Amino acid sequence: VEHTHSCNGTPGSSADANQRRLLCSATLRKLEADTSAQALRRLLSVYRTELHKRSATIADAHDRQDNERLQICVHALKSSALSFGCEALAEKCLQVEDFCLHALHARAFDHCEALLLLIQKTLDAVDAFESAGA
Amino acid sequence: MPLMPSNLPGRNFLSLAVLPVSLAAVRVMRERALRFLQSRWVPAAQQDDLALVISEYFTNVVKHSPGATHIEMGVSTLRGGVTFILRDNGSDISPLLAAIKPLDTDTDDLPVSGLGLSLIGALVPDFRYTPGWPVAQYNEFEFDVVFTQHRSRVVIIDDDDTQLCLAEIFLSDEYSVTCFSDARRALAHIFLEGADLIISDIYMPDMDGILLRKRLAANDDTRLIPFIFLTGCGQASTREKVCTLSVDDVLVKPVEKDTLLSAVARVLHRARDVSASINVSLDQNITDALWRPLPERYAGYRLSRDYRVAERGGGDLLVPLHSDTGMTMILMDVMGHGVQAKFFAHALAGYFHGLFAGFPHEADPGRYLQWLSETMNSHALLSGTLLTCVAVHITPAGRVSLASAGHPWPWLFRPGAAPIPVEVSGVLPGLGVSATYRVVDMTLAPGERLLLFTDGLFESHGKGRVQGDSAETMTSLARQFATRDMTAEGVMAVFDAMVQGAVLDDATAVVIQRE
Repeated sequence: VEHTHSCNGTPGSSADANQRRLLCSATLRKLEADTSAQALRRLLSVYRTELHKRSATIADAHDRQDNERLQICVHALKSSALSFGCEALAEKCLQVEDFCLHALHARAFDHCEALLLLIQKTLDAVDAFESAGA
Repeated sequence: MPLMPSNLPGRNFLSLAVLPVSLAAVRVMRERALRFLQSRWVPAAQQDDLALVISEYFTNVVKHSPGATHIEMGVSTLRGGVTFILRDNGSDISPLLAAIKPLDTDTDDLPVSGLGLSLIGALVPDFRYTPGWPVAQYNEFEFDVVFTQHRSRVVIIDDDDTQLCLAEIFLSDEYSVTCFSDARRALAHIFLEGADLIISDIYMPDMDGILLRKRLAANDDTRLIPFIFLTGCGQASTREKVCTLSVDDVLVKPVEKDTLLSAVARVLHRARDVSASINVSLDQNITDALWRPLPERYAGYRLSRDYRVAERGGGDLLVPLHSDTGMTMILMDVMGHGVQAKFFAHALAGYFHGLFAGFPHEADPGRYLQWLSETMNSHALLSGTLLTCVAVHITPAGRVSLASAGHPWPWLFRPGAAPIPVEVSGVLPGLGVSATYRVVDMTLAPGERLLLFTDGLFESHGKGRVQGDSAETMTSLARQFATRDMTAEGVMAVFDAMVQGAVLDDATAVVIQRE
């Protein structure tokens, strides 16, 4: 997967690095520069809604052990995560998608809980970014 | 006494109609305006508003100016559009226009009197009014109409709302974007409405991007629509698979704005190039069959012509006619845009060849235009056609006569002097029962050139729109003439270099140069 705006390599503490991997503010600032502050707010609002929807879908796919649904969901989630510089979430999605693609269903479902936790942390990071911006 | 269209000094005024005052004349004005606006891609809602302004203004003249005998409507070139000029020889209504009250749409109590003028004030608030008295014979009411640029229609399909929103935000400044999260709905939309470019995700539930592409490829109307895959699937096997589907590009998410815009521009440009090449090839074949060749030299003049073919529409034709009295060239521009206009123009070209061949040969180009106008006026099909026309007659002794029916002014280029417009004008053919056309005679001195052209040369380009046929533009052209032995091909090359984007209307240049 090509990724042109990596937040890795930026100096700072380990906690900072983890935070940057949750949501890269440099990527968001680039998006804002490419569009507008208003457009970024709209995008983050859509993304927040998507994260909630995907979260529900992953939980449902896990409960039903629906591998195909899980695969479709993490595939889409991976792309949007990369668009906002959510590297940690994108990596986890890629990992789960890879398990799905190779029919390693049990391993894929084993990661669902961690995936849901990461989605929640990403949502928190989005909220924090918006609060800081406001 | 036939009504003559006005010739407004210093302005390239194209008279669309001049008629005796009556409510029937108001209806004709409205219809003419609508046809003109339709031919310039003005949105339908704006057409209706502007036609209403014209109706209201002239109705006011008919009902409240008992002294008025004539009304006239025309347009003058404006950068990116036209100025509509409504003329009448009735009362000065400056006080009424100055007293226009804004329409309050929240109230049910609309004014009974003066509602028409209030509508005018609401629909064209930047109008200008110049009373005829005491300086001129005619009152002039003017308003500007800026033409909307054609924006390419991009359809985006992705089941991920975030990606859809992102792509829409990236592209919507430059393109008309329609988004779908469901490929089946997108397919139905494309079959119905068409598209200039499709951008689709691959991996989607229900119908995926690959099946969507196959469905589009199976349909003659949609097979050649440019197609880009925008996918989060980085697997080589998937990329190889989509490469067999005849798509124009495959982009991997996340895609940055510049990357997406650049890909879209490149693919659309390529598609336009291919389309234009096919059109040029087709048009060349038809043109070769319909346009008789222009002699390279005649009566001491060097003659040349060149043209650019619009992607989808417009229609220019040049008919040279030879007789004992000399040679007449008739340059016509059938108004309209789109595929239908082009095919209609081709059909008309054949018709006009036959028509002109049947006219008695004349040394007076005004008579050709008069016959043309009378024929169009009395012909059910042609009376619905809007075209401009300029006729030039060259005698064996080298005298040049010109007459124009609503056509852009020709320009005269003289060595070492500023170019000047040849202010010859006349009403559009077919608009009046007994139109007559003023003829301008001249003899060109050695080195002088006369440039005839259709308005596509100035108005049909995308981003880098060339300013109208102004003195500034012509002076720039004259500088090019001064350094080179320039023919119509040279004129076209200059304009090709000045403009960017799609050609939206046929453009023709004819250069008559005294040797």
